Amino acid sequence: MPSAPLFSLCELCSARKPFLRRPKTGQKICQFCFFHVFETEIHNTIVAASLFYPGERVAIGASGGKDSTVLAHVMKTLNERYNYGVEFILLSVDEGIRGYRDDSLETVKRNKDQYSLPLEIVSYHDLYDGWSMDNIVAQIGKKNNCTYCGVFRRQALDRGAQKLGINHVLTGHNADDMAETVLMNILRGDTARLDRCTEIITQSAESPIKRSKPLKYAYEKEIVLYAHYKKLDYFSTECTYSPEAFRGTARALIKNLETVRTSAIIDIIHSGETFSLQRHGGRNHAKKLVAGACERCGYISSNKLCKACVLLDGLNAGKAAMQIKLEDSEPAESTGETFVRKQLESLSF
Amino acid sequence: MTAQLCKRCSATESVVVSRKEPFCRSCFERYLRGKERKQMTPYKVTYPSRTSPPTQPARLLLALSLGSSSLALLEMLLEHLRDQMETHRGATGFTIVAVHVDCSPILSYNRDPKAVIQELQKEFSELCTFETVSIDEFLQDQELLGTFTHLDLETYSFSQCGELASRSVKSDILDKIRDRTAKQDFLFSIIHNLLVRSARSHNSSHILFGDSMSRLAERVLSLTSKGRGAAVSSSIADNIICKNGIAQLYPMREIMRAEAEAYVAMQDFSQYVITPTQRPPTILRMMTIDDLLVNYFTDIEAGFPSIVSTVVRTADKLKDTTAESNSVCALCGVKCLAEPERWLKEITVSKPALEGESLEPTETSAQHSDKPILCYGCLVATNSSSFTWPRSSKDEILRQYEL
Ligand SMILES: [Zn+2]
Ligand SMILES: [Zn+2]
Ligand SMILES: [Zn+2]
Repeated sequence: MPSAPLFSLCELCSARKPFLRRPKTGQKICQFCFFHVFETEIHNTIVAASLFYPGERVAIGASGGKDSTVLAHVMKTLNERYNYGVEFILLSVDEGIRGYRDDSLETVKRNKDQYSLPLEIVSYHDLYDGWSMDNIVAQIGKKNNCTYCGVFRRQALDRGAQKLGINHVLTGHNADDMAETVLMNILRGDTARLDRCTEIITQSAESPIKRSKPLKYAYEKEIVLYAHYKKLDYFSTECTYSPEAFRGTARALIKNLETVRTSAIIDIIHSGETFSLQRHGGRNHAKKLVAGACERCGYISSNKLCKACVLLDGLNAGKAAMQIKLEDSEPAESTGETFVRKQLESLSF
Repeated sequence: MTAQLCKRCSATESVVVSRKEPFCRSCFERYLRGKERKQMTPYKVTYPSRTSPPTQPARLLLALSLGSSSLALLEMLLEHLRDQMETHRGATGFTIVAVHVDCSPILSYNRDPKAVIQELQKEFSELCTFETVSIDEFLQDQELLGTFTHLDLETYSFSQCGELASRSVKSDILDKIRDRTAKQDFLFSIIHNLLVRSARSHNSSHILFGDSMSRLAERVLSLTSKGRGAAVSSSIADNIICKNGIAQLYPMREIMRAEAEAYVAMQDFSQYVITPTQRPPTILRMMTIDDLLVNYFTDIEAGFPSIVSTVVRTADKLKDTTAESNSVCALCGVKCLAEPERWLKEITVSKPALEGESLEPTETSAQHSDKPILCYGCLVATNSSSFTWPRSSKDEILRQYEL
């Protein structure tokens, strides 16, 4: 073996003392090398995807959590180091979750000063007739609230970006999230999303704003380590409304796979990137969405009403008709997002 | 508790519950055999014209692992043949040679597989031929070996592995692989290669695999988890040419593992099932990715019964993206997409931080032409703990054998 295991020195630079075992590779490396490889990998991801152009104004979806805080810090660092020439703005959504979002927003406000980046906050309460997440949960219960939150947050970020005159939002999705999405789409049979879910840039007919994920190859554990050793100021409490049980099993599976083989997370992403659907001509093309505008709120929508307005109608009516049943949560047909999405799609009158 | 009536015939007491439905024995048999017959539709007895004798039967090879599922398939095929002979005055639409690749030099079993094969031969000789191939025959076949010369390039070479007769897959290949999952992958690949070789020597057009729907679902997730996602489509689809013009078929693709097990017990075929004496590991760190996924499906199936079929159906919709590729992995032999190493390097940097460094010099395409092409899955499998390239010191062998 040429790389003789010098246990006392960093496996990468052979000059400094190893400081941690790198979760992604198992290598024992020093702190300098860790920061270096972590940042360089994100830079490589950005370059490979030609993510930015000079002079571009880009919003960073900032929740105050570890992912988006590390994202903001690394974007600022790389922007200066490699002269991307990008103007970054922090964009936060206030879902109105007491004990979670109110505290994390304080973190974002501090980040604003720490990174001297401008900050814009949009709230569910203002956008959606006073429906904060707490109010929504009080009405529909804790089941499936993530679906509401997902639809509402996506639109809220878009609206915030539009308000700022920006059409590119970065989100803090990490490698673990990507791998989880790949497995979830296979397990739920969500073929429509399977072959696109690993793309770094997502642009859909359902949203006027381009989204991208610069941390898509960054391990969650490394994000935690990076935030910790860089002493970043972030809010570490998980959302008080926990995700659906089925997603939980996929998450647990990924953790186990990672234990068996450290590279499993990027291996799954690699698999996801090679997936491509057989597209039989005709049916798929016929259903292509025609981008229009929601009659009520003007948001981009292929139906009369956009998804958020449909959900809002249900909330306002408070009726069982719009209640999303989750009792028989078969992943194939009726679980969570897929089910709701189908229900929403079938709502075109 | 009173026994439920069979839901199909409403006449007989049920003996088994499958997919929430109670079945009596004969309805259960008909139900499963129906699924096998559906997959075997192309192998009916056909007549070119009203007056002519039936067309020559297709020659098929059955991969008989002697697990429940492949034995269930064997029994159904024998039943199918009997049926055809009865209705067509002795003519059949296909013939079967059942081949067992004997892994007893590697794993110990509760029964000697060779003895089991002999029993089967004695019992069913008029319907089917049986054959045992030792796993170690792999090392005696120069051509097959050529596909594996890249294994552990540092230490493995022909000159080092001793006399032909004393070679063993265990000591010459598997013991040299550290990663348990990789070990299992390569064993699987060796078995597959031997089956293809047998099929060729028997002039068989197809290999029938006994994989149940449950097994196929596990395979989909395990290939995905191992970075072998590009191979999902070609690994589980029917009629895909697996190698040398031999195509694969999965007649049990709509049958669950538990159903195959119940069926085998009903037919008194349990006596032929061989099981490894070593139980699968229960400690996470000792498991392979495949072990882990078997457990995952076992755990989740109770809560989400349709998950297995969902996974297989989803995978069926994937396109074989490697079909047009010209690159073939030097290790596993699957077609692969270009430059997995480059992809890995960009997102797994292994250059140190330099003092006072400002700009990272962008790497120009660092493709060394003398390196064997490995698919992403094999790249990871050969070195899963640190992503360094295995040193290619056996270039001559590579040049000699690489296509
Ligand atoms: Zn170092
Ligand atoms: Zn019956
Ligand atoms: Zn390979």
